[in-house]
Amino acid sequence: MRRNSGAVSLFFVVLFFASITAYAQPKLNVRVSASNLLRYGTGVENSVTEDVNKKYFEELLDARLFVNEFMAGVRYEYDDPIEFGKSVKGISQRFLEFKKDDFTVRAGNYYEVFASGLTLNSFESRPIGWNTMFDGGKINYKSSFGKKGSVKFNGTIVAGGMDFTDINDTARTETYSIRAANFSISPVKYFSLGGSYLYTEGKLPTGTLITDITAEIFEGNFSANYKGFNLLLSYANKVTINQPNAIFTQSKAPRGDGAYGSLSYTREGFGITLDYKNYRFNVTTPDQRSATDPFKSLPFQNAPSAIKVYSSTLLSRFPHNVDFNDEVGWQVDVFYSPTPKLTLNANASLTSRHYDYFDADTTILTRYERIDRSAFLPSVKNEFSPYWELYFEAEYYANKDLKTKLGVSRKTNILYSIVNPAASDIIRTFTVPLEVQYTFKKIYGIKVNAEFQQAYNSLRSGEQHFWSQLTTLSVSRSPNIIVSGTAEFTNDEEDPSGKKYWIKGEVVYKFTSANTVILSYGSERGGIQCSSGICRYVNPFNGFRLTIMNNFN
Amino acid sequence: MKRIVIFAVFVFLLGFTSNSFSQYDFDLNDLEGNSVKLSELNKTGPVFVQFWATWCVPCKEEMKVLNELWGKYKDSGFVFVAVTIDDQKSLSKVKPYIESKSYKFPVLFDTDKNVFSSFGGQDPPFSVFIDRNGNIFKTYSGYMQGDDAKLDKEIKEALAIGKK
Repeated sequence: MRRNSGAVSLFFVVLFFASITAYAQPKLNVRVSASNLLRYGTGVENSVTEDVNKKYFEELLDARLFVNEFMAGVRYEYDDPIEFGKSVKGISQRFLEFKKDDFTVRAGNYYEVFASGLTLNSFESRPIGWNTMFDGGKINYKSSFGKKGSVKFNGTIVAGGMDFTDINDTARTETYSIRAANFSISPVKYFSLGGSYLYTEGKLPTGTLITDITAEIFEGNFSANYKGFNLLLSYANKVTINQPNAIFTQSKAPRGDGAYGSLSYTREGFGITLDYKNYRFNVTTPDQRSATDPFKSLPFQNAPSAIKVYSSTLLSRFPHNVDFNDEVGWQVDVFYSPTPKLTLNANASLTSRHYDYFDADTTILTRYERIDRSAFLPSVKNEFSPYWELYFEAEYYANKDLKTKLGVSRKTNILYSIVNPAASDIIRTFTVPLEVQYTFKKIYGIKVNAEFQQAYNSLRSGEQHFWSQLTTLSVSRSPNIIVSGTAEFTNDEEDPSGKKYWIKGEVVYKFTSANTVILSYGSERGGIQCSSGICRYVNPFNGFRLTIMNNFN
Repeated sequence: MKRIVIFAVFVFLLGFTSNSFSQYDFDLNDLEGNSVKLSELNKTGPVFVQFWATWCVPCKEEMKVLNELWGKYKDSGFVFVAVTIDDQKSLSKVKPYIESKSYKFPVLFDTDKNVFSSFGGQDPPFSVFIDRNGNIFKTYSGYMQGDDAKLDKEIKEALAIGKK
C-alpha cells in the first residue's frame, strides 16, 4: 500500500467508533459483505532455459462495511509468494465512501474510468499481475434536472497517487500523482457531450536513473442514439514534458493523441458494431520503441482494444498485444439470430502500425525516417506489423437439453523487424473450436470442447508448420460438482516447454451457491495471456492447484 | 497487533448486521440511457440481479435460462435484470448482443464495476437475488448445466416471501 500505516490506523479508529455509535442508535442500518479468495499452487514451471520449482500462496479477503450512507472497504492480502506480480503481506486496499443523494465522496483506494478510457481507465487484472489502483480521493456528482429530468449531468473529480509495478519487471516501479476531472451532459435523450482533463507528475526508472515527467491529457467525447443507431466518438490529446537528466539531456515536450469511435445498429434478432481506433500516443522510429520510454502512453490510460476477445484456449493462444502508442485499426462484429434456436456471430478486424520506416543514413550508422502516408486506415503490408482476423461462429440449440457451437477462425499476426526483415515474427493460425453440451435427467450435464489449430511460426528454426489439438470433457451434477479432464497434443518440435502433450484433471465443488472449491492436477501449456490488450507470457506449469472462493452477503 | 484489532472489528460488526435495502440500492443506466433504480424494480417483486459480460460464456448460458424463467414468472412479480460489467473494450457489443437474442428484460451498465464490487463479486457470472422485502435471499457464483431446475425452485420460494 502506498501511504503509511498511520492513515490506516486512523481510518479504523474512526470506523470502530462509528460502529460503537451504530450500537447506540438502533435506527442505524449496518451491513457487511465479504468475499475471500485463496489460491495455492505447487509444481514445476517450464521456462525456456530450465525447469524450476514453483509454489505460490495467495489469500485475499475483501470486506465492506455499510453504515447508513457510509461504506468502508478493506482488502487484506497475504501472498507467500504471489503467482504473478509483486507479493503483498498486509492491507492492500482501504477506503471510506459517503453517498448521499446525488453526491458520492470516497477517500482511500479507488479505480476509475473516464469515457472510453483514453484519459483514464485504471483496473486490476490479477492473472497478468496488472494493477493501476490509485490512493487518494474522488468526488462524483450525478443529477437530472430540467423538465421531467430530461437534462442529465455526471461529473467526477479525482486526485491521488499510484505506484505502478511493471508486469515484465516487478522490481521496476513507476510512481505517479494525478489530478483529473471528467464530465458528461445529456441535454436531450438522444445525445450527450463530455470531456475530461488529467494532469500527472511521474517518476519513471530506467535502470538506476529516474526520469521526472509531467503530462497533461485533454479529451472530448460525443455520443448519440436514434432508432437503433448508436454512435460514440472520443478524442484525446496528450503532452509529456521531461526533466533533463543523464539519459534525456534536453527537455522535450512531444505530443501524442488517440481517437476511438464506435457505430452500432440493432434491431430485433440483429446487431452490428463497427469499432475504429487510432492511437498515436507515442509514434516513434523503430529503434526508439521501448516499454520504459517516458513519453509512452501512461499505464492508467487503457483505451478499447477493438479486437475480439475469445474464451476458448487455442483461439486465445496467439493473441495480439495492443500498442496504445502506435496502432490504427477497425473491427466489425455482427450477431444474427434467424430463429430463436440459432445465433450466428461474425467478426473481422485489421490493425497495424501507422508508418513504414527506412534507414536514411548512408554510412554504417542508422537513422530511421518514416515514409509518410495518410495513416487513418491500417495496412496489411508486413512493414506495418499488421494483425488481422476473421471469425465465424454458429450456436444451435437443437432442443432445451442439447446445444452445439462451431467456430472457424483465421488470424495473422506480424511483428516486423526492420533490421532483418527475414527475422520478422510471423504467426498464422487456422482454428476450429467445437462445443457440444447435453443435459439429462434435468441436473446432469456432459460437455465436450474440442479445438483444432494449424499454425505457422516463422521463428521456428526447424518445421515452421505445426498443429495443436485440445479436448476437454466435463461431467456435472447441478448444483454442486463438475469433474473435467483436458488433454492437449501438438507436433510442435520447439514448444518452450519441450513437451508434446499436456493432461490435466479438475474438480469443482460448490458447497453452497456462492462458495466454491476448485482442485486441479496436471500440466498446462502456458503461453501469452492478455487482459484489455495488455499481455504477458505465462510459463507452462505442471503440478497441483487449489482455489477456494467465498462470498458472504 | 494491528491485524488482530482490524479482524476483531469486523467480527464484532458481523454479529449485528442486517440486510438494509438502502445500502445496496443502485442507480444505473440502461441500454437507452435511462436511469434505473433497484429500489424501483423491487416494488414489482423479487429481483434477480445477474452480473455478466459479453466475453463470459457461462454468463450467456445462464442468461438464456433466466430469460425463460423470467417469461414464466414475470406475471407473478418476478423481476430479472442483467447488469453488464463489460469494460471499454467490449462495451459497444452489449446492445447488439442483447437485441440479436431478442431479450426484453432490463440490461444495465456497471462499467466501473462499483455495484459488482459492493456485493463482493469476484468473477462473472455472479448474481444476487433480492426478495420482495428488500433482503438478499441468495447469492450465486458461477453457473453449471442443469442449474435451471434449482433456479426455478428458488424463484418460487422467493415469490412466496412477503406475498400479501
